[in-house]
Amino acid sequence: MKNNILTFLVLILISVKGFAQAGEVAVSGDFAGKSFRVFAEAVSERHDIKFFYKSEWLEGISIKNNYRDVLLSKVLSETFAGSDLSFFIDSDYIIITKNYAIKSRLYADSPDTNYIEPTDYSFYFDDDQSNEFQPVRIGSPSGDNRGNVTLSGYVRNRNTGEPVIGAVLRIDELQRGSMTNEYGYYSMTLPKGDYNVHFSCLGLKSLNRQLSIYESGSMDVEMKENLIPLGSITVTAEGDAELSRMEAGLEKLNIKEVKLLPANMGVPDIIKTALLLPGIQTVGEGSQGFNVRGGSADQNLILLYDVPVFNTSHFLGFFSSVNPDVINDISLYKGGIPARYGGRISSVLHIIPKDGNKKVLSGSGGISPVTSNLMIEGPIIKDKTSFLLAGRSTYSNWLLKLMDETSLKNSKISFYDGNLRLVHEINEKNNIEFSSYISHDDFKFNNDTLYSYDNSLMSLKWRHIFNNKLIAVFSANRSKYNYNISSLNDIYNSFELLHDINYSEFNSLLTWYPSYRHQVDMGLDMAIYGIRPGLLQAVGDSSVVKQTIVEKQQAFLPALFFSDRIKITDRLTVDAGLRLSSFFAYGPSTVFAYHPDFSRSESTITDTTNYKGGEIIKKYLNPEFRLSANYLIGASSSVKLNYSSTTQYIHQLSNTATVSPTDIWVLSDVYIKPQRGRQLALGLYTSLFTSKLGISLEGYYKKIDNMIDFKGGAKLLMNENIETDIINTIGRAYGVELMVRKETGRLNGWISYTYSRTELRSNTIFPEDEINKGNWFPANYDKPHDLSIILNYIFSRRFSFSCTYVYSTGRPITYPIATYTYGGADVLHYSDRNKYRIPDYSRLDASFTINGSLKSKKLVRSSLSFSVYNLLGRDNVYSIYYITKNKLVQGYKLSVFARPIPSLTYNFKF
Amino acid sequence: MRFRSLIYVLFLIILSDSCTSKFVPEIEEYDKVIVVEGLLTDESISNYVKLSRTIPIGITGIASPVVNAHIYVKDDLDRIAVFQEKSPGYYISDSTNFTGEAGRTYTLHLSIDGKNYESEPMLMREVQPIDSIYARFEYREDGRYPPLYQYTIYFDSFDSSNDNRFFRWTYEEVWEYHLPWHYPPLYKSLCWLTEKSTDIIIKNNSSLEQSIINKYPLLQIDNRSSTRLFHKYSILLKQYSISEDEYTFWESMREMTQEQGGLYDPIPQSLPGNIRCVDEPSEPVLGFFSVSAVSKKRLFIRNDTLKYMPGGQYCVTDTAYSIEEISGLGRYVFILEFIDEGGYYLLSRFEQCADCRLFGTNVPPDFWYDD
Repeated sequence: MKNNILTFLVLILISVKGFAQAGEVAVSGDFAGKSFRVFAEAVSERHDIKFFYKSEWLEGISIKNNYRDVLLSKVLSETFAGSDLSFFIDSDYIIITKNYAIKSRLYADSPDTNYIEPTDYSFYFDDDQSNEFQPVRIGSPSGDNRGNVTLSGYVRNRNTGEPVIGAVLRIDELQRGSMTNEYGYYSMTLPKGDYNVHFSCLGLKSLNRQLSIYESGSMDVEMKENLIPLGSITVTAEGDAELSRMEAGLEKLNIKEVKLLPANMGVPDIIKTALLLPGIQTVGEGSQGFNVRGGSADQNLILLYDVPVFNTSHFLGFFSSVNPDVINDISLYKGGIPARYGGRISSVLHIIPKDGNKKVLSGSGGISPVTSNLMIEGPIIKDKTSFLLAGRSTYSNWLLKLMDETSLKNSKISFYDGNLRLVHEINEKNNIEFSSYISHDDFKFNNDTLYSYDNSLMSLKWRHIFNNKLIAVFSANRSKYNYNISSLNDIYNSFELLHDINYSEFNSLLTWYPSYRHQVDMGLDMAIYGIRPGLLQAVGDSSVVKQTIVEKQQAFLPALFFSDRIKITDRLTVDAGLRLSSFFAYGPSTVFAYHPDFSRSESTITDTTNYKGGEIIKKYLNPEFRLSANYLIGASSSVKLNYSSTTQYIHQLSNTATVSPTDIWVLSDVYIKPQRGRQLALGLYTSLFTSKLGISLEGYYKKIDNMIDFKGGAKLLMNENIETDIINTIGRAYGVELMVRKETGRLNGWISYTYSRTELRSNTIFPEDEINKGNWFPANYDKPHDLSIILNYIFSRRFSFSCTYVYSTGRPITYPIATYTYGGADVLHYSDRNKYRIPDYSRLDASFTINGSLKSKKLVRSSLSFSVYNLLGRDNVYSIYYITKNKLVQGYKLSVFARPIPSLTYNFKF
Repeated sequence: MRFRSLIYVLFLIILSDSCTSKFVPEIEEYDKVIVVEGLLTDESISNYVKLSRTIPIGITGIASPVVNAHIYVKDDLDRIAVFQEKSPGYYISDSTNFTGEAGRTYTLHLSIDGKNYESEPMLMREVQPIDSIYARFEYREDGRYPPLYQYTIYFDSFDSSNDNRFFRWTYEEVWEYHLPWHYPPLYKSLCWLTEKSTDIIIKNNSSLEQSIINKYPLLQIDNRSSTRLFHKYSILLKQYSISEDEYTFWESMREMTQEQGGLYDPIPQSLPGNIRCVDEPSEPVLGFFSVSAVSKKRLFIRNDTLKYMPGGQYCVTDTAYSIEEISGLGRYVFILEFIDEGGYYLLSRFEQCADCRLFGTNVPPDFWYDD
């Protein structure tokens, strides 16, 4: 009997939607004098109604009359009149209580009756769920219960205390919803009243809150992790979140998914996984950088702790430089970039870090064939302050020492990276975060030149809630990238060459929720760049290398942004934004003037201007427009449209097919104009079979101005007149992206197919500088067909299998088409730029994961993953090149991973 | 950049390998392009212009010379020197009196099938003398036969004026070659073989405080890979002081031909030179008209300093005991030697075993006994 009541309570509190009420049922029968039990059984049978009561209460209660088509509620009222019994009708359930009545609203109209508080029964429930049944009261009803109030609060992870980002809260009574921001904060405006609020988020258990709100206030909730996270391979959040999300072209990846897929050399990699999504490509495997919708690699803004990361890979591009252990999620904006982001024109890869567990000390680690990683997180002050410390390193140097060949023994290749994050909640309204990250790489072949490069960044962030309609985030950030090339073999020519970028930024972001129809983001972003393009200096006393410094570049980049997300109707939402970006290059600097009738070269310099320190050399001001619109069609489809224009003032100079760690970065100046991009995208989304299958189709067209290309034989390092080697190109890109995914069930995964083209054209008035006679030519990363298939199969909670298949058109290449003899050597004459293509690329990877014991009390939980990269051993061509040897020109193809590469990884969690 | 090697290392680490294998891509037909290779120096004998057209890839050894072109060089004083075609596609300056002068500016003019081409005006720069050219000897027994005898040839050069920052070198090797048998007439068994440098040797000293070239490794020669060290060897090094543009040209050419095959190779591109088609500016023209003063230095390496150099050429030989037997063996048999002890003839079917003139000349160069 108790169980019946429990069932009932669960039902009454969760179900809000009204059905035909049992009380409306008309009963007929000669019940007079019959016991209530007999009556109840008869009515139950005929009308499919269930009664819940304690037998002893109803002993001696009998029905007083015979009825003909009388409402059940009336019958019950008459029957219980004069007794201490009450009844409560909830759809087709009828609950009978003694002494107390059950109230259907938190504030009932009749103050005279004694009501049962649902909390009276809470002790019956699992402690974890108790809060579900605790009504939240904010204010109490007064004379005038009309008007709107604001509800806000944090959604946190119950297990770790970290904010839950992108949690969806929904109030069905109002057909309204909202989403938590990157701090797990939400705010919504709603009419006064009593509601059932539903919270849901990927990977977490959904929960409900009974809310009675009569004045503005806050409600924080904690969501529990799903006990069985297996198989939650979902590229995007829940189906309905995908539909209502604003931006066409936003891809989300959860780190759990990244870790489940087959990883090369057993190292999970966010960027390599992102490449499996539509519209994201790379020039070749093992190459650094990625290309989003026809953008070059330097056009991606990669934000870790909201700070740009300049070098994104380790080990010459085989691994991404950000440790997956410190990441919760990544959001990749391929289009529809919000106004608060700027500085790069093609995409924003926003890495959402873990905060560190505020409840208990925990950690994780892994051992793979080339690297090891360890992460520890925990509270410093429970529920207030947390830390997260993580590190990764490689033992490749030790492996090299074991090699027989001397040239290998004397070689070096290694990397490490480390992250530290501290999050402190001062009080309800103030929160402080400190984050830092370093990464280091170096390599050397056979005592030859040593290359080393470093990233470091730091961020201090203060979040303040003025009131529940206005929150502000202020941050001070620094990011640094530098590399060092040194050669000490020849004592007369020993040198080191340095290049570095220093980036400092102060950023403020105000989020204002004036009404439930608006969410306004605005702020000011002030950045300073200092780039040392190159410093060459002697090492050692005998070296005759002359110190050469390529003049430092400095610029101040203030940007103002404003955007308003407007819910025009319940179906149509528009996010309109403007970012006003500006660029001020300042001295000291020497600027050369060139004769306008000739292609720029050192011999066409006509004048030299010296700018003093702090003097403005060149300024640019660019308004950037961002517009996204989302229209919901029916219950399970939506159309999204967006337009964004973007500007970029920093450029990576690379005349190789892929970017390399030793490519230099330069700022815009008098001659290097800012790169500008404009993109229009249209997307259709639909979910079928109650969100089991999601389909998305997106198309885009993009134009890019002032991309950088080079004259033949351009010298990029230590060039004091880099403008003489640069030519401008314009780019156009278009494509269609189709994605079908199944998120649930034992078999899940996705299929993505992209057709896209990216073409460039040199933009110069001098015929000798033109590439391919000024005609359009395919970019290095133009790969029209791109297909990825990702499948996961979960055998049981302990065993799972994943495989990925990738196919793409071969990248464009410039082939030699003829030879000639010059100075006794055979020389190649090349075709037009990128006229040919290397053979198509395809690869199959597979992995099998065994989880250790699933006992939750176990101290250390471990898993073992066996994966094979390039299972079919396909000899994918990375590059074709030619070597002239003994007067003979021979073509060779270079394959990076020509064999299956097995690896075994052990991961543990405590 | 040693990226390719690094990649190799990386793959050894992960128990795999990045592999390279031969590849022949399919390519379309294209228009042949004019190639100009010109050199004007302050030595009259060095001046030449070679004209050719490009050859489709995959066809080797078929030169495509441009014949009957009209060529002349004009200096900044409007003095003209006409070049005459000496052999197909090879043009030399007409007047033996004509030599370039450092400090003057020269422009090359070409007329091919009615179309006119010209170079940019090029300044002839002074060049410093080569200080020294020398060799370091190394002997190594590594279990293989014969042991390795190896010379590394270096040179030093120093520009006290510091005016010249970009250099190019070429060299010419000559060595004495003996067939190991003596029966053929002497004129067939003693020859001088010549080889010109084909590698592009350049250096940029612009980042050095002093324009110094110290112990620059020019090449390595040994007893295993050639016959250079068997008797007497000589190398003539020529040094040119070039402009930055020309340096860039050679450097790009070197990158394009010799340093490909890594993950981070520059995107290849045809190299614009300093010659253009006057009548049709969009027509590509390959090559460079180099103008420079030249300095030279010669090095000899003699057998008597080496003593005995084992190793050598191998000929498949046969024997015959009488002239009758030889004539019965067929037409293409060459007598190498008559072995007195045993009284038989040593024979070979291969002419190169009997006549060294297949490789070189049997006339000693005039400098051969200068050391």
